[in-house]
Amino acid sequence: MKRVLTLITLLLWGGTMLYFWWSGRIASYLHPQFHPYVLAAGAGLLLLAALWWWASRETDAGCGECGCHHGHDEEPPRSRLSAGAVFAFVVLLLPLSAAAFISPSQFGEAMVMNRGIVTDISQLPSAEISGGGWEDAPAWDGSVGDVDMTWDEGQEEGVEYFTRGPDGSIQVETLDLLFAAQEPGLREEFENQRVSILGQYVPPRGGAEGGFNLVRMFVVCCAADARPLGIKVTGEPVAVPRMGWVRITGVARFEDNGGLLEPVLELEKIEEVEAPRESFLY
Amino acid sequence: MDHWFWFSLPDFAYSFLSVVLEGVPFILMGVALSGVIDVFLPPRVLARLLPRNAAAGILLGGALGAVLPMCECGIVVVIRRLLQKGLPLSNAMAYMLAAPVVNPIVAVSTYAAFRGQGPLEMMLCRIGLSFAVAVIMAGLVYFLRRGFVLRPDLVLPEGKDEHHDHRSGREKAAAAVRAATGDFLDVTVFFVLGAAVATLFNTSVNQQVIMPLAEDRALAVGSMMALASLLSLCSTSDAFVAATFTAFPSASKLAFLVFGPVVDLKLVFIYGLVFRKRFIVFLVAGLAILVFVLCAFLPIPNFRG
Repeated sequence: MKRVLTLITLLLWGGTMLYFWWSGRIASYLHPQFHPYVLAAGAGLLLLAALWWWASRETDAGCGECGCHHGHDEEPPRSRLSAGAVFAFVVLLLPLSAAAFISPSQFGEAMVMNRGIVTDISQLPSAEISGGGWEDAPAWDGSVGDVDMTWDEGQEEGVEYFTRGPDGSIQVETLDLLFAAQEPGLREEFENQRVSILGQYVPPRGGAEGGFNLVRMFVVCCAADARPLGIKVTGEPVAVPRMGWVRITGVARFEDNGGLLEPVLELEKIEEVEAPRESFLY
Repeated sequence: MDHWFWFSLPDFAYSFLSVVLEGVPFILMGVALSGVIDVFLPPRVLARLLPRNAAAGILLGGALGAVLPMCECGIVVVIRRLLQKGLPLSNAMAYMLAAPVVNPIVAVSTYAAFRGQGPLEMMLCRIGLSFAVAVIMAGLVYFLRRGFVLRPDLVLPEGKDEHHDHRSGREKAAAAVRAATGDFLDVTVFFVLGAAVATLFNTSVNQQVIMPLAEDRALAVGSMMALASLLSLCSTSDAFVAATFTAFPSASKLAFLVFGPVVDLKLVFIYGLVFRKRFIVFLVAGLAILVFVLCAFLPIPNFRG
């Protein structure tokens, strides 16, 4: 029994890791630098499962003749299950399966409110300006990933650095406006410009009036360290599900909030869109 | 702040999975290294490599992470194997406590995270304090009996596991696979339990609750240590989180960076694989006092630039 449960555990863990890598769901969980590790670990666990099946059938000759004890402190693979072993297998099998089934692969509002929305870029020391591209974002027609957003290294810095959409609005990320708020030159260039941003819709709790937040998660390693970056949007709350993905088009301004300049968008247009393949900013 | 606790099962499941997916490859690396040690490192070779002087052995253990870096998830299983091979307890303790921080990967990530907040000073202070804490704790452990520290199945007299091995290559390989599988399952059980508890805090508690503590240095140090333990972040990425607490003094951020990699919720569970419960209490209390005293009372300025 223990032998079979061990095999099932290794197969489940290896299979789950390979599934997340193969299906692309891994992009919603880890920074890209960790993706190869997940692939290697999944393959390694499946290999270990095969080796385990072979090794558990091999009998150890033992050392009865010489009286030494090396290698014999392992519990025999065919031994009966103790209560502790049953508990261990429950812990190994149940949480992983349940979490993979339940997880929506994106955070909800509870986490955003518990972490607090970041509007000051100095709180994110590893953040860098996006490069103006939305390679994995839904395109203007709603399809995913077919937009050519390559950035020409020779372009001048400033708003010309960013791509423009068909309606002439500048395509930016939440990060870019937070950077602009702290950079006088860039701030001046963005002031009163029409911009278009992708993010999640977070209206105030309790139905308060006065706009809403557009939020995008910033991640260093994995979703567990995600920080919600927010841009205030003025305008009436709209009929979009809370935390639903939207593209906002509006005019950028910068307001002094207790000595800290923060970007604010005056809402012109809001569209519901599909979640991007890569939901994080890095 | 309109709430301090808000639990969401989907958020919990999502964050828990991300921790598991990130951590398991490193556990597997630890298991692989453990297997290599088991097969290719006879106790007599280990004994020959180690300095005879105990203090030199502890200092070497503390610096070993620089050439053999391991993250905190994977190192416990390596330590267990090294102890079974007869590595002196104090040397193993110094390696276990220092390696997750005293290594080039963490040095670079700490430097990168603290751009504009004294990156070089923060990096050097973090590595220096972690090394000092590891060496001091290992020095204390030197005076303890192995029976007080280790689980009964690991209590072999140091260097006394030496004997001939007359098994065939096939038998040795099968034994190594069984040992590696056992190691993986053992450590993963504790990892899952610890990750679940840490995720509960990480996703459900409003993190604004600790912000008022930033004004007093001792309170700031204590609260950042507690936060590091509760968040249970990987030592390669925790600096990026610590650096975001811009209102907190540098000393409290160092406390976060030194304490978190050696005492966090998932680690306390994983330590149970090697140590007795009473020693885990001793270890956690000792590390907490040591890090608190060093960070709260040493003249550490607020680094800028």
